[in-house]
Amino acid sequence: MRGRRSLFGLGLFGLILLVSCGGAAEKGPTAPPPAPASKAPGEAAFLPGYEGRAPESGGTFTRPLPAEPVTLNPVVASDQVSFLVYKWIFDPLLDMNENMEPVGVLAESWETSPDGRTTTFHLRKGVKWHDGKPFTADDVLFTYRACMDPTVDAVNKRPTFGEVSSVEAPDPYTVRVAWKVPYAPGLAAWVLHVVPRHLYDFPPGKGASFNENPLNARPVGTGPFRFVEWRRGEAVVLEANPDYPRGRPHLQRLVFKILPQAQTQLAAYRTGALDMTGLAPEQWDEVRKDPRFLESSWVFEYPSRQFFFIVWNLDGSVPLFADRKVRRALALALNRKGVVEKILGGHGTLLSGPFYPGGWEYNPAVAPLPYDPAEASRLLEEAGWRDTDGDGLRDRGGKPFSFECLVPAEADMFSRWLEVFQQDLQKVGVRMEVRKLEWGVFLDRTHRHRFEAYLSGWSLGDDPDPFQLLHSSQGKLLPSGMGAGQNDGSYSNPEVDRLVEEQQRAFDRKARQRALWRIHEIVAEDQPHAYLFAATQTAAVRNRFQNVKASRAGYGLFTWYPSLLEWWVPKDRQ
Amino acid sequence: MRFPLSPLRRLFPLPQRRLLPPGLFFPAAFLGLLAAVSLLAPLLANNKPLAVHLDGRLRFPAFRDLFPLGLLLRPDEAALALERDPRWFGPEGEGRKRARWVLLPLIPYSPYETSLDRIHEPPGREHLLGCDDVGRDVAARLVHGTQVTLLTGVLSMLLALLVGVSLGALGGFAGGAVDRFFVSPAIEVMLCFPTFFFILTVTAVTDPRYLNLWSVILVIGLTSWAPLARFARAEFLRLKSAPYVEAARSLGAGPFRQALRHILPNASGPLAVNAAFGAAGAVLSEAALSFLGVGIQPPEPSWGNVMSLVVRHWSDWWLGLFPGAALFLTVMAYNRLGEALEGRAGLQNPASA
Amino acid sequence: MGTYALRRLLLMVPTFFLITAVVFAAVKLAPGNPFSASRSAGEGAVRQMNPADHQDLLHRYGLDRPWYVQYGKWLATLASGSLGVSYSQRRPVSEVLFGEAFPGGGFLSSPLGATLLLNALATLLMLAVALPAGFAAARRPGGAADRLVSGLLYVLYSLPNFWVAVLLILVVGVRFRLLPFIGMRSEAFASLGFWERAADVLRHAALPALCLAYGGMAFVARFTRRALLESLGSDFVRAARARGLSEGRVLWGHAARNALLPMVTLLGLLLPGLVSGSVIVESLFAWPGMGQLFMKAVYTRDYPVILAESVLGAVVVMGSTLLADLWYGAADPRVRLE
Repeated sequence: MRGRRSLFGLGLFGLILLVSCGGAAEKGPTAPPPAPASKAPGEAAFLPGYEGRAPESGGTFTRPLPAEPVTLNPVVASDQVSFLVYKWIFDPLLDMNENMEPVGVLAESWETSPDGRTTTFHLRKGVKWHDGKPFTADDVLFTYRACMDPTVDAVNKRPTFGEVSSVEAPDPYTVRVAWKVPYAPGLAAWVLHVVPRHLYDFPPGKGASFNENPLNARPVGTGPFRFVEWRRGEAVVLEANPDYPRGRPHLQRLVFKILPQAQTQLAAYRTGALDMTGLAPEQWDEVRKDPRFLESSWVFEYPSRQFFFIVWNLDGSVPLFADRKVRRALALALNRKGVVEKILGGHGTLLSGPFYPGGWEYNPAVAPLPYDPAEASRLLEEAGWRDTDGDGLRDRGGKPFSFECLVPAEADMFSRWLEVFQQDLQKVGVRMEVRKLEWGVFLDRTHRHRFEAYLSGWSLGDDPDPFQLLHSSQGKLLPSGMGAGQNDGSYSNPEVDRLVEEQQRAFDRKARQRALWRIHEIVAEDQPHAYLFAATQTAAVRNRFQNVKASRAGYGLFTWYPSLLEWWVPKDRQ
Repeated sequence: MRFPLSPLRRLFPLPQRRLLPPGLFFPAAFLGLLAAVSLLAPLLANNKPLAVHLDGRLRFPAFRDLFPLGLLLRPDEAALALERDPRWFGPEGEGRKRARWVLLPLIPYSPYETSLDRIHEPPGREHLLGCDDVGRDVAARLVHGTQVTLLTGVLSMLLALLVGVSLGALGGFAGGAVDRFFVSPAIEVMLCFPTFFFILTVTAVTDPRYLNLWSVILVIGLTSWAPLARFARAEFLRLKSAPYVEAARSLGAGPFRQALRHILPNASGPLAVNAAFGAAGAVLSEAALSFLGVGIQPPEPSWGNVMSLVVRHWSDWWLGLFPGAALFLTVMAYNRLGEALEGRAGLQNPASA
Repeated sequence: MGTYALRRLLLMVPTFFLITAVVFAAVKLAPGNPFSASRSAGEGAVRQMNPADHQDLLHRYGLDRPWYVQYGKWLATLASGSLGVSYSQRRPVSEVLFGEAFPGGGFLSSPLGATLLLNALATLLMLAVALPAGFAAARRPGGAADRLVSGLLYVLYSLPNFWVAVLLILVVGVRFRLLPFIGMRSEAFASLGFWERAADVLRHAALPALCLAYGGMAFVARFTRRALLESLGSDFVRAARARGLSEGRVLWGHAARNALLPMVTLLGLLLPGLVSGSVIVESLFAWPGMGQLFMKAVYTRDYPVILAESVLGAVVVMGSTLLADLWYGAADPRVRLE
């Protein structure tokens, strides 16, 4: 799983004052009238009569960015905002479609050898950089080299190539990747946005010139859109690339407006300055009651590949959590449903395991645990935790059931949830202290396994491989004192280890799915983490755009291929 | 008909018509009220009953939360268990008897108690000042937050006085090289310090673990001594050569005795004035820090952190209105206090007429 | 007086070192660094980095050295005339603060420009209210106008400005939607003409400028009143009265002109307050100025930006306290540090 620990993402829940939502949403005692349905993931939005018509060219799409991009060099960029922009300027070798299946972009096709140790990419011919120079395998090799050069700021890319032993180009239109071991999840690393060698070349070990290249602010790629201008603090503008090998995109211009205040997005959308806006829960309720708004907009509610969980430390240092029954009891005692309904405004999906509910890897047969304090109490009694001294806390062997849960201070949504969970646990006689830590300290403590429990978010990558999170080798401490992987709770189950390894070598989707579903079942029994919920996001897009679709697998409106490239605007509405 | 002055009156001839000089009434009354509220907070806002008749015995669970009592009283299991059942009137059964009668505090909620059922509840009969975004009672949080406000104002100024007066006395009394090369430059540098920027930087980068009332008081106290030191120095400089100090010196009083017994009491007027204004500033600083999320951390209640929630939920106006009003009255009380003391001491702020 | 001023100027040197060193140490000794701290508030800082790579990155940027070594390096950079490069924006700090060289975008849209604009408007607003109030109060000391002005302004003086900001947003912005309260410009800004643009910025600045202005009003009004009364009591005013000039002529022609002179120093007293007030007000109103930038820089541990702003802030405060002290020192020898 190319997953990553994340602060609750994407401008939805910012720091102190940079916060979502505004508007005078009146709260009344009456229930809102049943709102018109939003477009479900996978459902393409068309105005009546336009479905099936030939797309027309032209039109500008203006969307908000929650912050200024840091750089438009895809190798150096590590932030989500930069990605939202550069992904239209640079093409990757391959990309994920809305169902999380790989599709070729710069690669026309690829095949993996039967032993799973080499993957050969056949590149598309006749692709040109925006400056007219031809694109070849040399550029792919260069991009890979740049990613691996220790002096290049690409630290978030390097781990994805961990299993690659070599990359070579037998001819200008072929790239051959050799793997150290047969490794099915490795393909996802090649969602690699390729940069032009002839403009960026640098001697090995001299990455500074690459990191600071002035082209990072006026990039040249092979993608469907060409860079036009970047007005700092204001906007980035792209225009359609007429020479795009897969045909020029229907939209003529893309404008990314930099709007750091989430509250202003909706207001700007209403004035027509934006064609798309994210919606905070309160805003969602507000616009769905507003017929004028709905008349001109598509509204979408779609999954995002991010979920939240509490990690229990199982490395033996915290005897409290050693018993599976106790972990189950704790999860049953948390009113996760209440939090989703009352705090997230219903925009979340309860989880039963460490996968995204919309993905093919998620086993639908495993149901999320309910909120059941009575059952939780029963399980705790069974495990020997009783309140013997009448102080309201369960105890066993003279020790009260009390633990400390770490949380990154920056994510103040997390703290709110924990404040609710604190009360829930108190009701079953368990005390949880909430300890807020600065993000860097939080990472350090959790990487070194110095915690009892912590709450964190996990952003899923392009592959569902749970290796880092669940494999026992990832829960060991290295000699440096740091954890080997992301299995900070040191969960260890030989059966899960075996299955995790098996699915890494399974190049057949069905076989891999079987293994992942089995892992899901076992983990739901073991409860090494308390799985809370996955977030869903909401957005509105102006309905002059046709063929707008949200991904079923959690890629939203834009981060899959071809998404935006399929959108079009009828001539009379441009 | 005239009555002779009572002997008591003759002893204290000053307050003839009023208990307090005119300007001091409001600040004294308000700050007194604040002190009372902060001391009695557990009795005013608590989810445990003040008194309850249970199992044939009279119990006083809420009183156990009053600072010294909890340590002195024998633990009462039945009373402790009441905490877990906040509303408490539940039906009999499950081994629990129903209480005969119960006396609840004015605000029958604790400042920590969250509830998903009353998230964003506006002010009403059940919750006088509404509820916050995790369903905590705002009134209860404000009552308990009083302690934070009061302690910040008083303790940080005491700290600033301690530092400022020691330094000022050193400079004014010792004079010479100590003053020229150490005290005066230190005061001047500190006066130029962008204090609020600095406090903000320090608290914002502080590990949230250590962000609590005491660290906030420490930071505020240690950065606001400069005006006090400046006045202390000036007073010591002036009074050093006053006749009565000269007299004390000639009678053999050592420097400490001179400073503490003879100069300090006479310098206390301007210092008290500055400390009162400083306390207003300290209260404001704490509230501002908590408002920005780098002061007192929830769930600990503070007026500033209650108010900070309104920024996330603009439709919850009560989160912004009430804590701000309390803060405003407190700041005004301190400012009034300073003003009144200033009038009494016959001092004039250069900018006031 | 001359040596006093010189001494104060010389003292600015140690003050500069102390402030920057203390800020530097405080920020460096605190947990977090530009690569661990979330890159920016609302940005969804997602960083996948294994610990070894993290160490490597720190080493490459010299962030694993002791703070005083880094401080020395920063001073050396400063001596060479550069404020360093911002970590979170990957461009020179001078560009971050002062905007790009023309034609990259006007000075007014840079953080420094935005803050100066807001503070200038606030000062104008403050003077526009406080000067007439001070005059009215001084005309008949102890009269109804005097009591009203001092009472009212007194209340204003005690109002916490973030509370006022919250109330203004709640009432003017949210409830009645009279004025915008987020940012500095509306979305359609680019398509507006010059005057429309000016009006747009003014509308956005109205609430934050008011929040910055009202606190100083009481101060300025009292100052004006006193200066005016003093000058009304002076010999030349009495002489003017003796010549039979009308009360208005005396007030406006003679007393006011004389009273305005000390008021120049008043601005020196107001600036520090404006500077620190800006942090909260700018953050609340999302005004893209130095205050908001500062908060962001602190959270992302963007050291070069934090230091550059601290230095600028200190220079402003030092300059203005120097100015005010010269006035204070002249008026009241007690506070003069000699």
